[in-house]
Amino acid sequence: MNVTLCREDATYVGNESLTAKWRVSRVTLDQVQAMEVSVLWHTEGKGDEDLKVHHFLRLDENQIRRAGLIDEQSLQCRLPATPLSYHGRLISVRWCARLRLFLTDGREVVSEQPFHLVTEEVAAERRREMAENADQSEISDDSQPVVNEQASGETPRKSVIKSLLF
Amino acid sequence: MPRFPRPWSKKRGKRFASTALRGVAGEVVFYTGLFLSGVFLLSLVLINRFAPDRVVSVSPQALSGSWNFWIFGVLSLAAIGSGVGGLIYRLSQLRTSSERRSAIAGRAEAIEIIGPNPDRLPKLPTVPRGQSLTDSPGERQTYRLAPERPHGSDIAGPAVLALLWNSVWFVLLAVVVSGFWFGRPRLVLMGLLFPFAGIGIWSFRSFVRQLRQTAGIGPTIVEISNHPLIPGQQYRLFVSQAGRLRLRKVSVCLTCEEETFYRQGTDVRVERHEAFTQEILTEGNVRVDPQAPWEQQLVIDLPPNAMHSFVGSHNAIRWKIVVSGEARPWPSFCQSFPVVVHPPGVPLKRSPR
Repeated sequence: MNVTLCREDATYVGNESLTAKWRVSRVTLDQVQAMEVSVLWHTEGKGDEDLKVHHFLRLDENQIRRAGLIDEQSLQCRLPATPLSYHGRLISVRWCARLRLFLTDGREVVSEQPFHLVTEEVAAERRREMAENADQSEISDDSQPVVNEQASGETPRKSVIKSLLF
Repeated sequence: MPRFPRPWSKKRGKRFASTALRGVAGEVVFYTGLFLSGVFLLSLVLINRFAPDRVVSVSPQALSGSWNFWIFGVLSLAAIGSGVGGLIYRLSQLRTSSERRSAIAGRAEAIEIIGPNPDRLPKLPTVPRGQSLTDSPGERQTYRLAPERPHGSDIAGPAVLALLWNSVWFVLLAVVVSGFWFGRPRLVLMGLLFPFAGIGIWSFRSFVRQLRQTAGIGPTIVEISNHPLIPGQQYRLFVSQAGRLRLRKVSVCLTCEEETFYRQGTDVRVERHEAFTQEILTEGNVRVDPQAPWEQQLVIDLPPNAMHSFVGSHNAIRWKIVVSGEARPWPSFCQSFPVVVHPPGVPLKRSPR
């Protein structure tokens, strides 16, 4: 399962539009019972989890058959103004696009693509930093042909796939 | 070697030591048992009420008396209702993701019973509206902020304890005296009166100490030029401390506190952490008289990258202005005044004051 966002830096401003694309592979139609795609925020940290879905789409077996699994699907939604992404000591507020697949054998497979919801100032600053990093990497590529991956601790890029056995 | 299935489960950090299925099965068995017990009890009540001749084993008076009929009837109906409700709730969660449950709850919240919001302002999910914070107009600034705990609320607990405990003690004293009067002394009760009197004296002294503190440390007033607050903007603040006291140190701070609730076993625990503190003023050797309260005009600069106020079901980020002082001869005091911080770039509706 693969979920991708319309922005490479995965940074969005409140009230902005988000487009996420997803694709499911290596699973046959007979194995899938239902599929849920959601854009949501949830908290992480010491406390119990708060979770709120902003956009939710559920496809049952017939709808999945009509849509097809191999084709790339997409969803579009307008993000709310709040809550903004936050990383504190006790609480973190995280946004993500989540794809959950219900298999006929009872298993659930989850794929997530995290993103940041920030203010306009922070988004502009991030884009400036990314542009500067890109310029620097271009210069270093010219001088040294070595692949130098930027540490992307803050910028979420890869989907996190979890398999839950019920 | 096959492991013997344990009927209980244990939580280790964020994961459970056993599968979720065991917990679900336990709950389903419990609610089914509750429902069947309710049905059984209701059947007994109804049979004893309407066809007592056909029941041999149970005495007709046991369940069909006027009071017994209602008590057992209500209990059995409550058991049936709890059982059915619990079963429906638990079974509805099977094969239902947390996202789907949240989406269903969100749809229910979106139904506007009274009508659409007349403000026509963009909604800020999870940001408290804080309308009650700007109810009072200020004398020096636009709004007078409401304290987290009203002045004098600390005295209610000691007052109730002292009053109730000493009332009970006097009732027991009357019982002991009447025992001596009618020639049947209650010696055990008389012996208990002495330790009870000690607790009564302690509770009364605690009440008097709290009363003196409340009377000595007068009300704290905080007024602000604008509300809600926006990161990167500047606000004027007026702080006043009344009473009759000398303060070794008084300080005014703007703080952002993370607050989180979590379950530990059957207890619900709260943990707080000050994520941000901005000291606005610190002053030493302050003298406060009833005629001359301590007053200050201050300025707050909210940092431009500050997180907005956030309130979830189990987590919160709260901003507040804290006035604290080390007083003599009274103990130190600390009064908090909550404020709401909105994210920048969102149109605001200010209170008309």
